[in-house]
Amino acid sequence: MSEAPVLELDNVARHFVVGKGFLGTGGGAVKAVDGVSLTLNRGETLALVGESGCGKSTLGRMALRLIEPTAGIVRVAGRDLTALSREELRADRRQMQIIFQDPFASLNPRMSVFDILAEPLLLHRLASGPALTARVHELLGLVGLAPHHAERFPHEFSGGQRQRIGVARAIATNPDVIVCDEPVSALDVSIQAQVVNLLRDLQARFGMAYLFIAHDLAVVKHIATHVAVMYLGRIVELAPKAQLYAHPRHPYTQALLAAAPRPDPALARARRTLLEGDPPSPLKPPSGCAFHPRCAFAAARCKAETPELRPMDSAAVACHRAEEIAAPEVAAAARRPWALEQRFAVLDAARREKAGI
Amino acid sequence: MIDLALPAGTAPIRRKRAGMLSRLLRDRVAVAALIVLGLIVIAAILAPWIAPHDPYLTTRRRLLPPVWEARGTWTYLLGTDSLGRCMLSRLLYGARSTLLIGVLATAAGGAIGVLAGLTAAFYRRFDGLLMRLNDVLLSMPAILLGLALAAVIGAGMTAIVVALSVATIPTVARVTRASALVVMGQDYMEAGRSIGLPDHTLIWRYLALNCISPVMVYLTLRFAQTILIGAVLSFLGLGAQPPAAELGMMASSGRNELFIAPHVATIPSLAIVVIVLCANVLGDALRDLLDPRLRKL
Repeated sequence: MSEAPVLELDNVARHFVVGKGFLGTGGGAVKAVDGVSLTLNRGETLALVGESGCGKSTLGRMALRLIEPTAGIVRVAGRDLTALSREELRADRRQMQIIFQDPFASLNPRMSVFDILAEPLLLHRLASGPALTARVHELLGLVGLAPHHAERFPHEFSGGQRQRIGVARAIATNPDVIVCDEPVSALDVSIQAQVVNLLRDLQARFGMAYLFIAHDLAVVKHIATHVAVMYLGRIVELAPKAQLYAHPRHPYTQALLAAAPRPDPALARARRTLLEGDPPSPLKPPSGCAFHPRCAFAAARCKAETPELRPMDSAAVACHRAEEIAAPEVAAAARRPWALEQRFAVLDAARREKAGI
Repeated sequence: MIDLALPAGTAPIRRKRAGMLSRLLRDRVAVAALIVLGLIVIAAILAPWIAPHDPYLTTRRRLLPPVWEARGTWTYLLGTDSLGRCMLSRLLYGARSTLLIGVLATAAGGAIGVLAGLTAAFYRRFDGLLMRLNDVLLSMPAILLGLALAAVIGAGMTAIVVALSVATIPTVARVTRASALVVMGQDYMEAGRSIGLPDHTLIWRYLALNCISPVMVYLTLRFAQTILIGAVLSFLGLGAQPPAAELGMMASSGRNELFIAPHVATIPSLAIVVIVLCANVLGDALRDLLDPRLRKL
């Protein structure tokens, strides 16, 4: 690969100080993200999956420096974001955008759709005058809305439509990277497929890279090229999508895949190894491998030593016993729900038809 | 396909603002308050042209009762005070001063309070300092502040406006900050930052516009309170100085003749009551309007 990665995280960490006492005494630090490195190339989609509170949203915001990393380096298109001044960073923001989870909270209710979409274009001097109107209408068309929608206000739209407006705003400046923070999890299942397909179409057309934060493995399987599994602020497994779904190496990945909803009730009741217990408190992470208290394969070494992310086949796994653990047959279990599968099939067919293939 | 298009000629969806005004006009009590307050404001503004007499001109016809009493005359509709000055003219001029004090103090104190509240919410590192300063202001009673100021710069309109402005700041700052903190937690603030907007755009176009409605409600109610406190300060002799007319001061000077000529004290007091009542009713109506939880279906 000759091209430089569009997004590079190098040992990025974020610690939040909590429970500071009255005179600044006591309290501790939550290691929301603890030494994460990853790279994202043009046109790729890296999905970030994990339980609530594992630090995936924090990581996504640090990739845009919306949250300042405590340590580590973030590079977008080869430029070190962490070294930029506030003004330089503001100018660079056209390279990177974000799509939010809640479409009802992500649009300024006092601005018309036209103003929302025109704002980044005017700010970065990408268009003005008649070209601005043309560009706003083009953006609306790209996300499947009509030019007359520009005059309306966010509260006049449905959730799915608002998310389309959010997508239009994100692509307005032709960014290299878009962080998608659970962009479909607040939407109706039927709308999810539409928005996911929209994101895929836009990527095929403009080649931006997505950092796709999600917890829905079915959606991830549809859109991702690579998947990173996070647990308590660290990446435990990073693999190309097909490999992760077919041969999960880390016990946590295996458990996640096994816990995905299954369309067949008989199959669901049979052989399902569910995780015991809750994720540990990030204030007091377990010694060694953070996953060891819930891991079926934990050994003495796991309690003492923190496993590093190490290459294995074409993946990377942070587990001492990865070689010994046989990858179970989870491919079938992780299949998308039948109904969703059908919808994707219909949409794919419709898209092919539209493209005239 | 089912045709979901609206039939031709259907009115487009109304904007939020238009809906709000029409809803306010449906509240009959609020409309009445709006009309009464409007008339008072117009009368006060037009005082120099519509007052029947010079409000400072003393005559020998002292303590004349209003026209509806036995000894009343049509020349002095509301009678005269202890110096024989026309009560109606003084009432109009007095309302002028009182309203001006209320508007100036609410506007100045409100502006500073809103600015402080927005700053505290947007730049959290200043939050602690600003709010502690705020607590200091909050612990000072307006009347005490007025007394102190009068001692330093001398009693008069300036002292009273400054004292009332300062008294308005802390609560407005608190209300603004609370409302702004809710908006700060919204995703669109982060969206604005991720576009690369400068702070001033974020503060005005994103933060202020979205958190200002509860503040406006509070300011309307606060206006009534300011007039009341202002009247008290004038009553104590800290505000407008004789021979100027101001409602609180007029009520104060009339109290010596309360038993022989009750109208001198009661008429300006009634005017204060009406103004404050109207402002309160309007404030309540505005709150009902802007709070969706109180909205009638």
